Amino acid sequence: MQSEKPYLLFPYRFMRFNEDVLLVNEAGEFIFLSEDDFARLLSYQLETNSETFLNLKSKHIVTNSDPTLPIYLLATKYRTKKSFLNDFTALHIFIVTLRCNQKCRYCQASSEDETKTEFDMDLYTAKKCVDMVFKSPSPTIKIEFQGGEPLLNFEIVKYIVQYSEKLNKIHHKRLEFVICTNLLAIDEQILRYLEGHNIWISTSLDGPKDIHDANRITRKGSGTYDIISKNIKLAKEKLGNHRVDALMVTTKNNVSQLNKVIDEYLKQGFCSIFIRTLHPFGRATKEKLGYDVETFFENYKKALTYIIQLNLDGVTISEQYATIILTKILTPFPVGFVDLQSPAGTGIGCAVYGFNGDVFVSDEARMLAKMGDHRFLMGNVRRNSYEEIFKGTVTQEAIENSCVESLPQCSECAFQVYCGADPVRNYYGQNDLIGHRPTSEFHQLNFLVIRHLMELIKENNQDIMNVFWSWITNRSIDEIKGLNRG
Amino acid sequence: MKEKNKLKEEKKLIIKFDASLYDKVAVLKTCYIFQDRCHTKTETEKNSSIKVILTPKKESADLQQIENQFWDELIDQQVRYENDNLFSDIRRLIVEQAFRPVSFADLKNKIKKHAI
Ligand code: SF4
Repeated sequence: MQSEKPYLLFPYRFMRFNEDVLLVNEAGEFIFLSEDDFARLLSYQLETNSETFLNLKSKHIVTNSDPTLPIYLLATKYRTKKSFLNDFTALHIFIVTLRCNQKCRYCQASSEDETKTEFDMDLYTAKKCVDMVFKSPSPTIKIEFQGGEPLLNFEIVKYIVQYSEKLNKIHHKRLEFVICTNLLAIDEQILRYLEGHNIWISTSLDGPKDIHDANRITRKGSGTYDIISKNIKLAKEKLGNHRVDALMVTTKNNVSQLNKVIDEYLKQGFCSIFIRTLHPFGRATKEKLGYDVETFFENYKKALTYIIQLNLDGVTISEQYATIILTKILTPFPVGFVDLQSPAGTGIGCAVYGFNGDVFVSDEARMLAKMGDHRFLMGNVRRNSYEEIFKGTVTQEAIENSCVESLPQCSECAFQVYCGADPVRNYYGQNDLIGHRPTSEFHQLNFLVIRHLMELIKENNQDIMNVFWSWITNRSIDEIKGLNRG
Repeated sequence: MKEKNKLKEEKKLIIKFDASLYDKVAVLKTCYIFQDRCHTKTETEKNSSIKVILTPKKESADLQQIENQFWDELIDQQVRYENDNLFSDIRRLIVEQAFRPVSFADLKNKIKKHAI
């Protein structure tokens, strides 16, 4: 009973943070307190006219007046943070073929030989998949073509695009397309088609030639750097710089050379990079390309420092993982990044349609099925209804077991609002959808990265904060400085 | 406030404390978190004390450091446990209001009913 106390405490989570204590409210707003002030807060000894009290009051962690308003405001902010739940599945990944003209050492898609057309999505399945996609209540539909190499089944890609555009004349959704391609088979004609239908390209670039060619090779074993560099240039000329993006994978070959990877991205005209970890599926494990979390984190930290310095020197480049987390920490808005939300985006944020019409909660779930475990198969577009697939037990279980608000250790974690859960990875790595946080790499990595960013925010170096805000708002540092002055 | 009865054997840390000071939930949550560095075992003893046995997973572990961390974490977990009890009604009201909003006046009445 708090009513006899001089003030009322509202829900918050806390964590010792160097000499101080970090407190985060239900909506992700935070404050640092000294240990002494924290002890005073808990024992109701804070002066209600002190600066600390007023700061805590502004974050809705305490109140000495009617609690209705802070509860009302907190509820509104909480609703905004969770607004990604309003729309249901927006991202639909189509595996149009398992065939690939590359055989990358870490490939999690376990691709098939170029000649094996039995692994292509056929017309009937493609139609059924698109019909299923348009049953989603989401006002935005993003169709992402993956493989294998989707350009090897480009006729089906074209069919899906055109059939979706036709259906959208009735549904009026915001329709977007992305093709994830290694660019080996791209040509002027395909680029013209992509341009005509506003299809964006997401390609793969692991770094300069020696690093890229160590992992990304053709089926005959030769490096792909020269050809893809040429084709990135061509694609950017035809589609415009902003419509061609690239992703990198960190392996033991480039983990200690991330600066070189960043330089290569700049050289190729990219202004953002996503320093991604290797997923522990498929060939990556067999080829022993991994590293431990500490190794990744130490190198990630150095790379982030390098990127921040580049920005301070006038070069525009952002790091996407940091941007996602910073947006979660510093703004009231959700990010729509399915790998870091609660509940997880499995099925409700993203669905993956296999070449044969099987629907999975994520691409990792599809990989598990390839390895013989169909635990996260939601159904098949040829046999099941939308309700059976998206409201079935597989989706429900994945959601129920990925709410950080109720997971062991996450439920008390001060970083909870900025973090998420991945039931498929938990299941694969720890044999349990809920997972075991103390030994989970997902937890270790997110904890370290969020903590590092929080440390930088706490330092409150104006130059670094300007860089962060330029990433979050997608504006130049000069514009941010102007806003600060204004 | 540290209880005295710790006994360091070969790479094993035994911590005993008065069960009335800490809730079982706080003790178990602390042990759970320590599973990244130790195997943990909890036992209750006749004289209403709790015994926690921590066996480090790494040979090189510093037992003194682990013990200090354990006490710090246990106190934090106890505070969290007490906070959870204190906050449960308000938390429910916030989430309810977020997803099933009522008018400001109705929310005020709800809050009164919960005697917050
Ligand atoms: S995964 Fe780790 S860092 Fe993330 S909320 Fe859970 S305990 Fe916190």
